[in-house]
Amino acid sequence: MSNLLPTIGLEVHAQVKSRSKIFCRCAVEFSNKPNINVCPVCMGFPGAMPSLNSEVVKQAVRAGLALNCEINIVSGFARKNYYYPDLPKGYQITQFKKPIAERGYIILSNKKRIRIRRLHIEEDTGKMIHDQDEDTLIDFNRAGVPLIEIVTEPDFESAEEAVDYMTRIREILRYTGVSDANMERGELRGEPNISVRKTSDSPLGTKTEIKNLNSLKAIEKGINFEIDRQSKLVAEGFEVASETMLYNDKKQEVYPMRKKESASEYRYFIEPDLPDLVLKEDFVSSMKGTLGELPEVRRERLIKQYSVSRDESWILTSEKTLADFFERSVANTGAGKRIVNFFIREIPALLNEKNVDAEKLLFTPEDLNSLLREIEREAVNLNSAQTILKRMAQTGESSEKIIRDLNLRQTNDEEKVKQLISETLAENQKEVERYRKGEEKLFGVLVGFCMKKAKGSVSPASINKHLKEMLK
Amino acid sequence: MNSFETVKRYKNLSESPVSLLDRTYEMIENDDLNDYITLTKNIAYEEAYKSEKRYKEGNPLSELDGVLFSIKDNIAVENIRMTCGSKILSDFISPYNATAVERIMKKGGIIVGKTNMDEFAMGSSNETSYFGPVKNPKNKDYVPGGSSGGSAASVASGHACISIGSDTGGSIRQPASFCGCVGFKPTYGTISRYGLTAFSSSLDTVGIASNCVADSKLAFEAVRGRDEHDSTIEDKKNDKRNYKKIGYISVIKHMDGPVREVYEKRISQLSDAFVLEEVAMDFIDVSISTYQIQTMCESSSNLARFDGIKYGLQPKEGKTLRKIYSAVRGEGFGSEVKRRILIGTYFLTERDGEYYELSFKLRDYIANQIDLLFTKVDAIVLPTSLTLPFRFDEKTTSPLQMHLSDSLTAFANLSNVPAISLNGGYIDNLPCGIQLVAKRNDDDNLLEFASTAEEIWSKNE
Repeated sequence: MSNLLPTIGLEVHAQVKSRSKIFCRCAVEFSNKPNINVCPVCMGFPGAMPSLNSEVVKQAVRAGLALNCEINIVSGFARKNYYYPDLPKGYQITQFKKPIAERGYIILSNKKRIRIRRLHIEEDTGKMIHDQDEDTLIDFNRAGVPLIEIVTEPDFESAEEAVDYMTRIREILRYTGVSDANMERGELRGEPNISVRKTSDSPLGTKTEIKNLNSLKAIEKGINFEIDRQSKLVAEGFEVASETMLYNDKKQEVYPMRKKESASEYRYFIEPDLPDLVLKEDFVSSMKGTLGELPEVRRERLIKQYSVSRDESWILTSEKTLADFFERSVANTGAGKRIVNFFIREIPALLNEKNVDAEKLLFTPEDLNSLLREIEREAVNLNSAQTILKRMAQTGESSEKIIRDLNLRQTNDEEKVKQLISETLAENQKEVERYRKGEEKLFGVLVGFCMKKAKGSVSPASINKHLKEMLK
Repeated sequence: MNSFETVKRYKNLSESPVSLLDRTYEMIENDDLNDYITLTKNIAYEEAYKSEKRYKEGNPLSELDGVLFSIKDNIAVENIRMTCGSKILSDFISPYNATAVERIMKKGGIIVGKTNMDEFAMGSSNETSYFGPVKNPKNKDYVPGGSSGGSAASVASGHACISIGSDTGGSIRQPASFCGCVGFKPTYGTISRYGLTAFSSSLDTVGIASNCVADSKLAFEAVRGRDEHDSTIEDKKNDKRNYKKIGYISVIKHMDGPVREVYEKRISQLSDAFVLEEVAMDFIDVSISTYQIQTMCESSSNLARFDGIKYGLQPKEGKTLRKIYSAVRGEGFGSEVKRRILIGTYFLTERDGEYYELSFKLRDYIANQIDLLFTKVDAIVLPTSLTLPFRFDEKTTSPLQMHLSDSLTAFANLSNVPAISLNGGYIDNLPCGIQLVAKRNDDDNLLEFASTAEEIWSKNE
C-alpha cells in the first residue's frame, strides 16, 4: 500500500540561554538536585507576580531576526489555563494574540523554503518524575525556564524535511547563541502535526500532534509511523481523529494520548500582571548587528574562500565551534587543498570519536595551525601528521615536541635521501635485479621499502624522483 | 486611634510601643469582633521593643515608627500564616513579605495581626470567611462590610491604627463606610501588588483603612511607588492643584432614604468652599455586570494554583489527579468562591472568551465617560454604598442583592481612578460613608481634598 501525501507542520520549543528564569531571578542550570532553583514566583505562591527578564526579550528578538521574521514592536503576554501538577500557577504565561515575531522563513538544505508563522516567548513547566514506588514526584527547577516557541506553516512533505528543519533551527540557535539547543537535555523539542490527503488538490486532512520526540531519530520515526497509521486508516475508510499522540521511544511507535484541545479549552486571556512588551526600534536594529555570521552565509563564504565543496562546507559548519576551529587553524597558511582536506578528514572524525565539542579538545586551533604549517611545507607527511594529531589529542603535547620525539620530520636534503635509497637498494638486491630486467611494476615495491626505512622522514615525492634516477 | 496622637505620646514617653501593644492585644482578646484571623505577637513585640528603644534614644525611624498596623489576610507577611479567609490556605505560611508590608516595616510600623476577610476577597459582608463573620464594631448585630471587613473593623474599634487591605470593586471603601472609618483605594498601579493574593489582577489594588485622612496619606506615602516585583506600577503623579469644582449626582437608583439624607447634607456643606455641579453617571448601570465578568474570569485563573500539590490543604485521599483536585478544591473552597470560579470558567470558555474581551470594551467606555466627567469637575462626591450596614444573613441568600453592594464603588476600579470613603455621619448609630472620586493619578490632590472635606464635615456635625 502506498502512503498518502503527508502535510506536516512543526512546533519547536527552544530553551533560551539565560542565567536566570524568565519571570524571577532563580538560576537556570542543568542540575540533578530537585527543587533547588525555586522561589515564590516560579512556584506560583499566592501573591507572587512575574517580572520579565530582559535578556530573554533580547534573545527572542535575535532569534526572530535570524529566522527572517518581522519583529512586533508591541507584543503581549497571555495566560494559557490548564490544570497539571507540573504547572505551578494553573496557567502558563505565554504569548498568544501578539507574539514577539511573525512571518519568517528558513531555507532547508534542499533549498526548499519553510515559512515560519510565529515565534513567541513563554515559560517552561516543571517536570514530573515517576519513581520506583510508583509515586509521582515533581521537580520545579525547570518551572519558569525561558523558552521560545517557533511555529511553522504546514510546509513539510516528509519526515526528512522535518528533521532537516530541526537541524537548521538547531544550527541557527547555536550560531546566534540564543540556545544551546541540546536535544538530549530537552533544550530543543519538536512537536510535529501531521495530516494526510489523497492528492495535493484535496483539502487538508484532520491533523494529529505527536509529543515526546526527544531526538532527531525519534522525530523521523514518529512522523513516518504516524503517516503510515493515518494512511492505513484513510485507506480502510476510517476517519483520523483529532488527537494528541505520544511517541514511545523503545517501541518507536505512537499512541493516542488525549483528545486534542482547542484554543478555547485553554481559556486564553491577556495576562493582567504584565504590561505589553514595547520594543524600541533602535533596540531591534541594534540586535541585527549582534547576530554574527549565520550558517548559510558562512557556508557560502567558506566555499569561496577555501575552495571547499558544498558538502565540505556543510561538514565544516555543522557546529559553529568547528567552523571557528577550522578558520583559526588554517589562519596564516596558504589554506591549500592538502591541509584543508587533512582538517576535514581528521577533525570531525576525531570529535566524533571523542564525542566532544571542538572547544573541548586538548589542543587549540593555534597548536593545530603549527602542524598544518608542517604539512603545508611538506616537513611531515600525511601519515605522520595523522599520528601526530592523534597524539596531540591524547596528550595535549605540541606538534613540535611529538615530531621531535618520534623523529617524524621529513628531509628533502638530496644527499640524505640518496643515501637512504642506496642503503635500501643494497638491502633488496633481488628486487633491484628483477626490476632492471624489466619487471617495472616492482618500482612501487621498492618505493615502499624506502618509505618503510625512512619512517616518514622523507616525502614520497622526493623518494620517487631520486629512486627513478638511481635505478637507471 | 490615630498615628499623630500615638507618636506624640511615644515622643514624650507617656506611652511606649510595647505598652500600647499590651493594651491592644488585651482589647482584641477581650472583644468578640472576630476581626483578626491571626495575631502576630512574636514579630509585633520584636518590632515594638526595637521601636521603644528608638524613641528612648530620641531617634524614631519615621512618623509611622511604632504605629500599629493590621494587615488583611490576603497580603503576605513572612513566616506568618496567610489564609485569605479560606480553608484551602488555613495552614499556609507565607515564605515572603508583600512589598507593602516590607515598606511599612521599614518605616517602623508594627504588625499586630492578619485581619479577617471574605474568602479570597469575594464578598461584601465578610460572611464568606471560613473563619466566621466579623461583627460591626459600631453595632454587633450588623455586618462590617467586605471584603476587608476585618481591616475596617480593626481600625474602627481601635484594634489597630491603620490597616492595609485590598480593594477590587469597593472592598476597602464599603467596609470603611459600614464601620465609620476612612477607606482609600489609590489609582491602579500606584501601590505594588506583589504579595497581595490575586483576586482579579486587572482591578486589584492595595487599599488603606484608617481613622483619619492624614493616616491614609502617611501610609500611602510609605507604600507607594515603583517595585521591581510588580511591572504594572507606573508611579505617575499629577501636578498639585486645589479642587474648585465638585460634581454630585441627584438620581441614584436603589438608594436607601437614610443614605440620601446623609449624602444631601454633606454635599450642601461643601457649597461654601466649592462650586457644586450636578453630573450624570449613567455608566454605573453597566459597571456591575462588567465588573462581574472581569473578576470572575480573572479569579477562575488566579485561583487555579490552589490545587493541593505545592502547599495548602492536602488531599486526604484520591489516587488520580482529578480526584485529588476535586477533593482539595471541593473541601477547601467555600460556595461563593466555587460559584465565581464556575461562572468565570464559563465566560472564558464560551465563544472563545469573547465575553471577557467585551468586558474590556465596556471598561474603556466607562473610563472614557469618567475622563469626560473630570474635564468638567475636579472630583465627584457620591455615597459609598446604596445602603447602611445590613444585618447578618440579610443578603446571603441573594447573590445578586449582595453584588449590588458594589454598585457605587466598582466603577472606580474599572476606570483605574482613585477614590476614598469618609464617614458622613450616623443614622440610628449606623455609619454612612461618603465617597470622593478623582481622576487617574490625582491621588495626592484627592487626599488633600479629602482632608478639607473631613474638616468641613467634622465642624458641621
